Amino acid sequence: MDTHPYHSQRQSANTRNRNVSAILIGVAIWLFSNPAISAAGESTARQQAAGFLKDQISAVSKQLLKDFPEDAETIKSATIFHRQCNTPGKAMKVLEKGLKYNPRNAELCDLMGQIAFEMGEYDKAITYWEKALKVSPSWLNLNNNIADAMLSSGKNSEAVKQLEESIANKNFKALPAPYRSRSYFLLGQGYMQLGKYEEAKNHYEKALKINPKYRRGNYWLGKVYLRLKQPVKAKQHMQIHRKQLTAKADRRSDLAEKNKLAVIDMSSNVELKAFPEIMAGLCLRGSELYGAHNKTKKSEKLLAQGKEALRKAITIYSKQSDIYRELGFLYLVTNSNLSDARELAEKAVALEGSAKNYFVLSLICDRNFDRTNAIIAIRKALELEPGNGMYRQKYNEMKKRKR
Amino acid sequence: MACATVFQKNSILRWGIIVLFFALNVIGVQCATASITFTDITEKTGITFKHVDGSSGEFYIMETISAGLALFDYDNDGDIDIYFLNGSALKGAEYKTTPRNALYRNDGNLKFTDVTEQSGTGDTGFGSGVTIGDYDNDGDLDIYLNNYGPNVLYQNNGDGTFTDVTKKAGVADGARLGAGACFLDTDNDGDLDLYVSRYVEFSYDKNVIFTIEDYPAYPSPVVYVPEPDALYLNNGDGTFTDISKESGIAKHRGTGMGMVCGDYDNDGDVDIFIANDGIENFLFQNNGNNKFEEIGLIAGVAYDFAGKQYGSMGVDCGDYNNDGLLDLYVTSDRWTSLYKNLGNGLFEDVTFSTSAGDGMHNYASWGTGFADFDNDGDRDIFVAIGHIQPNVDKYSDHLTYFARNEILMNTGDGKFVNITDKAGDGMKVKLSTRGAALGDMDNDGDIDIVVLNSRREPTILRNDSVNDNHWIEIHLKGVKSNRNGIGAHVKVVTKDLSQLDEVHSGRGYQGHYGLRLHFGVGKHKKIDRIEVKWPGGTVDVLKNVKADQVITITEGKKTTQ
Repeated sequence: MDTHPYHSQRQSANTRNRNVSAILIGVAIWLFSNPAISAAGESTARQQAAGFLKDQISAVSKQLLKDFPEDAETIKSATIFHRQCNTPGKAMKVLEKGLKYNPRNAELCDLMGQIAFEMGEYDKAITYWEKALKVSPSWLNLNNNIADAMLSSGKNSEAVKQLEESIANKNFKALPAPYRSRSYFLLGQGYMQLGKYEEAKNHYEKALKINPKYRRGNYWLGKVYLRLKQPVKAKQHMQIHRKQLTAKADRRSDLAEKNKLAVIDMSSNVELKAFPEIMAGLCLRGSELYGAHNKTKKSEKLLAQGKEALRKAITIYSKQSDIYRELGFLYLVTNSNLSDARELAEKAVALEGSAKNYFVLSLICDRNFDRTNAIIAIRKALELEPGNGMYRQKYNEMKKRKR
Repeated sequence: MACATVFQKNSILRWGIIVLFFALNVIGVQCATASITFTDITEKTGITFKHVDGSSGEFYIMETISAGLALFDYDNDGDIDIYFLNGSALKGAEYKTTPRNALYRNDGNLKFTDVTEQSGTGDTGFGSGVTIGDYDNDGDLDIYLNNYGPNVLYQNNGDGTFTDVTKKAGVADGARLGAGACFLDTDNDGDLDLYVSRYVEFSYDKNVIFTIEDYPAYPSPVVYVPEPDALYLNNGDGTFTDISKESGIAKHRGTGMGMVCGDYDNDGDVDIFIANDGIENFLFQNNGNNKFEEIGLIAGVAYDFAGKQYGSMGVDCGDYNNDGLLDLYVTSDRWTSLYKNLGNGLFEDVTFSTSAGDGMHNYASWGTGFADFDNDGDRDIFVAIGHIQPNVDKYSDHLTYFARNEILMNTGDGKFVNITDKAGDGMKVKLSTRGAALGDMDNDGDIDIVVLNSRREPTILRNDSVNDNHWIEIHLKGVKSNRNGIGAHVKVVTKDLSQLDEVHSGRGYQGHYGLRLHFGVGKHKKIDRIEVKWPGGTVDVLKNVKADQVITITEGKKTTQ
């Protein structure tokens, strides 16, 4: 068995990309973005698959937290699981316990900050994000999170100070574009609240220059132009914002038409997207931990349990690409059933042509000595997520290799 | 010796400071706990009404939006009566007794008698919203019901009874899924026109059910087609004409719920704010000649602080910072928003900087209102809370279907503090509230609260705040203007304090209250100046009016009754 950076990166991506919205917001986004509405029977199967995986993850995470209460990776996975289940209170309890063992773990502090923010506990969020930043000062996006919480609790001057200092940091330019544009946007928000409209405008413009599609960037630029008594420019930007929203509204109307007598499953759609990855991640981590403690049988048993759970989930609901991908990935990292792994990854891509699915297919092709298709698949992943450093690195490695 | 004396003096001083510190603390705590206090007196009022939402397990969307309520003096006896809306059996539901709306007469001392039967106001349609106004200018208040199904206009006969005149008036509004409603004088011609907000296009064959964590759940309105609202012009002869198209209102499809009409730009004509559920809010600016332009986006009230569309539910307008401009407070499925009127046609979302959303995060909020609960000269905010999903307790570890309502005290410096914890046992009641209405139910000079709780009995909260503050309540009697002065601006000026309010018909969450304006005036026993700007533009000024009384100001007469 080997570990793979793919797994640790996606866990960390889950953690670092602070999702400020609760599950229902995610559901709303899903609702707008997913034109396919299920019939009642399909919905039930999906619910059952999500429920099955939920029980499995719950049991595995409980066991691992009992055997390795100090393990930060397990704590993170369990926390992410509880957030997906709309039980942030349980997530907080897991984290509080975990932070006793890992008081200087920046990612756990960040997670605590995220959950507190989602629950409207802004001061608590600031405290934990400040802790994370103290431990990991180069993690500059935490400044954005802190400033966001400060703005949410009316501490506008403090937010502006936080962001100005972050932007002045010599490492700021190295931050990925989405984080830099967020910093400028939030700084614009701070200045707007302080009534410094010219500064606000400049920062909104900087945010939009880095990311022209910055969500709601045009809305706020329009607002600040109104404050600056430039109604023509204001209307231009407001109209761009409205157009973006109208596109969503049109999708909503389509939905309304297609939804006659439908049952829309609000939670398992979201959960079934996340649960397979959490399950595979927990099993891999647990297997690694048991292995390191010379408990080989337990290690192997846990991996087998993970594979079996994903296999069963597919038999319950066969249309969720994430389950196929994660099962294929488990085969890959355990170096077993590699031809099955490829079939699973191909099925995942056929169901959903996402960057993640293409990336795992590429890894599996590569392991099966099919470099040509591995490169084709990873190119596709990069097309879909051009800014993904890990995909880029792997692509370059593959290209450099002779065979 | 000298040292000992100094020591003794220091010691005495130190003890003195400690005692003073504790004394101040105790006083401070008492002040904080006693500033605004509500007591739940529901059981003593004689009110036996119980709301039903018509549910049969099919999770029809209209079950979640029922219902608002109204506070008004239907019999002109000087005290405020209560009208509760009720749901009715939706497809698949059955009730032993047919649910109906209920009118409770205020007999004084906060005792009420059910007069539904004798008044003829027990509509059995599915009630969503209600508004009150004297549409025929005959001196008594009429009732308009916005239902799922045909709407109803009850004309007050002036003898304690009402007649259903919907057909004659032409305001049944089809058989749609309605929500809020307002009477307003769009053209300042002295009679009240009618705005009817509509929620979504619904029919049983279009029903959509959500499931959350395997539990059935109510759907979001975004899966239904939104509806344009309707504006009816009063013909002055007991009938109305639908001018939705000509006025520009029908151009905009929305998911209207609560609404309020107010002259936010002080240009002498009434504008309209619609709280839309899941899409941008509308602000219809009155351009005269019964033409309206939707300017919510440009005015800054279409979205929340972050520029997001959210599920707006209720709305009230009032001048929270006493700057002479009407601000807006909007409740929603996730948080609340305070929009400060900047006076140049623009609003600023100041929810965070004023703490006007404290304690509301993640809760669905519904009825709301600005009112000076402690009579200190600034308007506080009441927010009704209740989750939409009855099963939420089963899948969430931090949200509950029943939740307490919230109260935000205005600190006088443009900010708010959530004092719910200290505001008495009345604020500890946990149910799933929808409509909320504010009024001085016992005529003692402070504002009480009546809320309608989904699927349960209502809650009557008596204001028991202890203070030495003074107040005045003003009832308007229009002559050229509409009879209750709906749309009039009233300014109350004491030495260092100038306050503005406006007479509204229809506000909060699909309900009505507040035809009698209430002003707290702090320590002032006398009001220096009361200025009434009537909808037609005429102004009446009264000077040196004694505080602590209810007065009536008649248009054109510079005296009080």
